[in-house]
Amino acid sequence: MRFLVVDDSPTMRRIVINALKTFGYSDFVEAGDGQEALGKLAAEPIDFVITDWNMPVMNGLDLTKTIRSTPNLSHLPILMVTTRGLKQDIIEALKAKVNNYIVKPFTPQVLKEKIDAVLSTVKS
Amino acid sequence: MKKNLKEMLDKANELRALFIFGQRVIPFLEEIFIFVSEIEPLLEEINISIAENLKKMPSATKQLSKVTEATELATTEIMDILDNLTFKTDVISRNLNHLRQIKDHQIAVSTRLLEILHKGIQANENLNDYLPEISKVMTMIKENEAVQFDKTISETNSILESINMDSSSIMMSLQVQDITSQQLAAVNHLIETVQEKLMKIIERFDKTNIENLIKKSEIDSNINVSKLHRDIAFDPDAVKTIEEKSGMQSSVDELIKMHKAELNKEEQPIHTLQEDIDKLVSLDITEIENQNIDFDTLQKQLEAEEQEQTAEKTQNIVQGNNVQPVDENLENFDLDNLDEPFSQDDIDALFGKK
Repeated sequence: MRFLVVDDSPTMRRIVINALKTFGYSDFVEAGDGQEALGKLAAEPIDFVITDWNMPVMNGLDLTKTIRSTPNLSHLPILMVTTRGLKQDIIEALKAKVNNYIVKPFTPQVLKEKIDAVLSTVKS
Repeated sequence: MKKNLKEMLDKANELRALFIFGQRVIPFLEEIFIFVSEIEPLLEEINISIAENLKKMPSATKQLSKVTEATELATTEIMDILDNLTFKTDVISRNLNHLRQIKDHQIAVSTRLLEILHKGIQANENLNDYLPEISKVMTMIKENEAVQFDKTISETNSILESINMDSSSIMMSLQVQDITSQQLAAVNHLIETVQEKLMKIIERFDKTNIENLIKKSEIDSNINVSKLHRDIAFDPDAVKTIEEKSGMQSSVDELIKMHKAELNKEEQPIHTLQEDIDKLVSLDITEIENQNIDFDTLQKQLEAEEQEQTAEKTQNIVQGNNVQPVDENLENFDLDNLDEPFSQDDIDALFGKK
């Protein structure tokens, strides 16, 4: 399974990828913002998107909306990992059709739990 | 009379001089009046700007203070974990030594026993004589060393598990870097805003031809706060997630769970048994008799409709439309207090825990 990890913070990308490695995943693609992520999505097959919300150029919410409105990408599971934890934010994310949502800082266990939850929903 | 006329002429001269002075002063006074009328709104603007910026400064100070606090907290957490790690690695090293000692002892005892047996067999001695020694070694291995071995292995395993937990905690603490960088970007943005406002005031001064009062070039070269080492999009409340880290994710999970529950409710098959019954009940018995409605046919029709809906649903999943629509369900949520922070539990409630 190939993950696309989108975050403007290299530290956060590394943290997420390290956690994914401990879960047994080994295929990762990185992007620093939404626009770069779209470029990666167009260039290679991706199975799962983990994205931050606050990013320069194109934020995670716009990235989600773009993915959902692109026919060959709309099915992609998207997990939002962000510092934004207001009710309004969650509702906005749900409207953009993210599959799940994690508030930073998170533990690797929470990340695994959410990835598994998203994958089980998508498979079923 | 002559004296009075002279006095009058002197006064008239004084008055003339006064008028001449007045004529010369009036344009100057006019200039002062224009300058004051120009500068007055500008000064008012400066006052407002200073007041506004002064209001923002405590929030910037507070944000910076929170960054320091969060960084200190994360550093302390990491240092505590590292201290414990040193202790844990010492225990693991001691356990490994212990295991090596057990193994060495077992090898030594087994070798000695085998040597005795070897000699005995070679000398055609009665091996029964060695039975007490053999059982002694077996008891030692089974009851003492095997127990110690298992105990040491189990202790080492739990230490390794706790080291795994420690690495999770370190990973969590390191996320502070991202959170604090957003906080600092927010302060940076605030400083940029203040800078912009000051620049606007300076531009206004330029227009009023009193630019000599302010050396704009010096300000331009000395203030450079607009760029960080990279562009950072920020959430000014990012640090709140550290303060409320225990509860935030749970509130978020709760919200997502609620949302999933709503979706599941919607996904129920339209033709429930009760609905089927209601459909039949709604028909007049005479109508049924007259139209010769076959219950089996009706049942088949209902099943066919249900299959059609299931097929449509499957088609949606195949086409990648399995991401459930949320807009309608969101209407059912409490849309008050949208500024409330949400925990991961609330999010899970909305998206479904599993």
